[in-house]
Amino acid sequence: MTEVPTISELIHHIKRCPAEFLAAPIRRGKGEVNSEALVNDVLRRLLQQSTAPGKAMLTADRRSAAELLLIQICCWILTHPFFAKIDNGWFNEVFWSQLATVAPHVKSELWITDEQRAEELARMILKCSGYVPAGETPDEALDRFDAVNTVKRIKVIEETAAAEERAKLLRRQMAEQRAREAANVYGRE
Amino acid sequence: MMKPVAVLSDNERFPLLEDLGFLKELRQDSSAPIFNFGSGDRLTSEKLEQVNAYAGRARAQQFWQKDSLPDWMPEFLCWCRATVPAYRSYQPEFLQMPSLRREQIAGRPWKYVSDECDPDDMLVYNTSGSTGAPMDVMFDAVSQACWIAQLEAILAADGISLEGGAGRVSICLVCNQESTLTYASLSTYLRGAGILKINLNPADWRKPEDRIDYLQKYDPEILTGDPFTFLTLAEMKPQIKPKALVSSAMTLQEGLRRRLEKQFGCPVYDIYSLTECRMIGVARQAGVYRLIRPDLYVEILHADKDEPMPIGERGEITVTGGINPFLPLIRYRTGDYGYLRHDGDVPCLYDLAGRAPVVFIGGDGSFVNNVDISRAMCEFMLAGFKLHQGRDRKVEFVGWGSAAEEDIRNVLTQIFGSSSQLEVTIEAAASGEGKKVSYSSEFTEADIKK
Repeated sequence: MTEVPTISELIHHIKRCPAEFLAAPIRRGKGEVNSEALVNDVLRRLLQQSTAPGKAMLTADRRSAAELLLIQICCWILTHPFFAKIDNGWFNEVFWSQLATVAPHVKSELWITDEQRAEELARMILKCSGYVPAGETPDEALDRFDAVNTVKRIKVIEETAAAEERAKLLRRQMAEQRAREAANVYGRE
Repeated sequence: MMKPVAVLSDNERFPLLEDLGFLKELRQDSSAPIFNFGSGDRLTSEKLEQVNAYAGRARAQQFWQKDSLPDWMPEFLCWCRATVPAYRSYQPEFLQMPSLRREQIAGRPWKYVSDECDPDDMLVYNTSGSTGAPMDVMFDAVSQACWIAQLEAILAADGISLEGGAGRVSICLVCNQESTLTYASLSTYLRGAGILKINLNPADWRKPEDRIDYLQKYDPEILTGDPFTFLTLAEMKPQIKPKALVSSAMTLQEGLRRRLEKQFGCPVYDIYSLTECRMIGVARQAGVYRLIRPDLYVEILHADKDEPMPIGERGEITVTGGINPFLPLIRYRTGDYGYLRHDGDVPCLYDLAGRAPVVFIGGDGSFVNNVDISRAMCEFMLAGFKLHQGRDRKVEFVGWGSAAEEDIRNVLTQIFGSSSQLEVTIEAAASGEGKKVSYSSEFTEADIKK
């Protein structure tokens, strides 16, 4: 049976990400790292097919620098020996689209310097690969992912903002209506 | 307190009524009071349909069974948790839900408005706080008009029905205050019937005798008001034949009920109601209030714990439900006490306390309505106050908050008259205990009759 790493072990691995993985991705002819080539190299390594043609098409020009940088960081994470032992079918469009959702909200270097963001990334990758971190139940893992999930955090902030907006609207309406006639009153209270 | 302004046209007040002739007649009658306000029921066809649907449910009078919750409860609680900000974090189990006090709503009333409410449908009423601190209560036109459907359910039990229709005044709310909003209006639900809100204060009329002439001419089907107002009205001896008198705001004493029934030749109903949810129960005899709202669940809670009292034991009357999406209530503590017992299929409240009538006498011996005091006190920065009058007519006032004693004294002098003896004390807001507003007096109804 494949031994799944603990979250602390993965966080430790993420924090050791070499600076090269954070070098500017090439977009519109500028930058240092060809993200697509990097992803395909990682895939070849996982598949142990060093001469296989590239499988992933990133179209870097259509992605933001933040997203490409996060993809590069994920490439580093996938160098952890655990990922060579498991099936890699999850490393697909569904995974990419998650990165696209979260990337614009976090400053790229925080993924490897900030404890919470590194934990979020570790939990997100394990969840996508279909594994539960060592020492946790599936429910605990889900709860802990929710606790650090940037997308959920933003949703809460947006909902709070919407609730505040609604409260403001109702208060304004109350002030206006208090000063105006309402409707027939039929009895004393 | 700032008075609201009448801003609507009659067509906006009655979107569905084409013929407003009767309204003009009520306003322009030679004996009509000097109406100071305008009002309508604002029912569109969609809203009228909702009122009619509610009336059907009210007529059925199907209450929850003893020891069980109403059928509508699970869906109602689910809806509250999904759409009302203040209830979103509530546990799903009714008995696990915390009770709610007036102060919580008064502080942030918008938190209790369902997300489904259109702010354009909002209507606001200020309660003068005859038994609590003043509070703004939000309503919509539907829940307001449903009062009539609730009244019909009460009347139906005695075989009385409202005729309605243009040309007939169905309901006249009679007040007896220094000042209040007065208007002639119509009811779309009652097919264009007249609705009046009048003040018996002679200052509101061209001639004092117009009060009787106007009432006799339009002879309303139902008169509503508080016990003191009905007493004043009875003494004016109008020759009218109402189908019923509906008394509320404070407990109707048995002696006065008998007198009114005899004089007007009709049943006199004592309604227990709150601005926060409108009617709760009705008494046809002293001390027993039959519940009249299957849509409003009543339970009796321990005064200090959110635990229901055993059947038949006294505690705080607490309500859940209602039909107002701007203030759906979950375990709302009314501040009134009593016990609950099923009488056949209908739950009844017994031993209701908290609304005892309080009689104040002015310097000239006239009756002073505590509503006028509550309204006047809204002007001041007071967290609450208590006012007591002794047999010697001396008025003792203690307010909690910041206000100049001299200003309070001036206001009370206006209300009680220049010859009254007043003692006014203002204390820090934190020192106020118990009810935020309390009135007490050593006078009784018998003293006004003299």
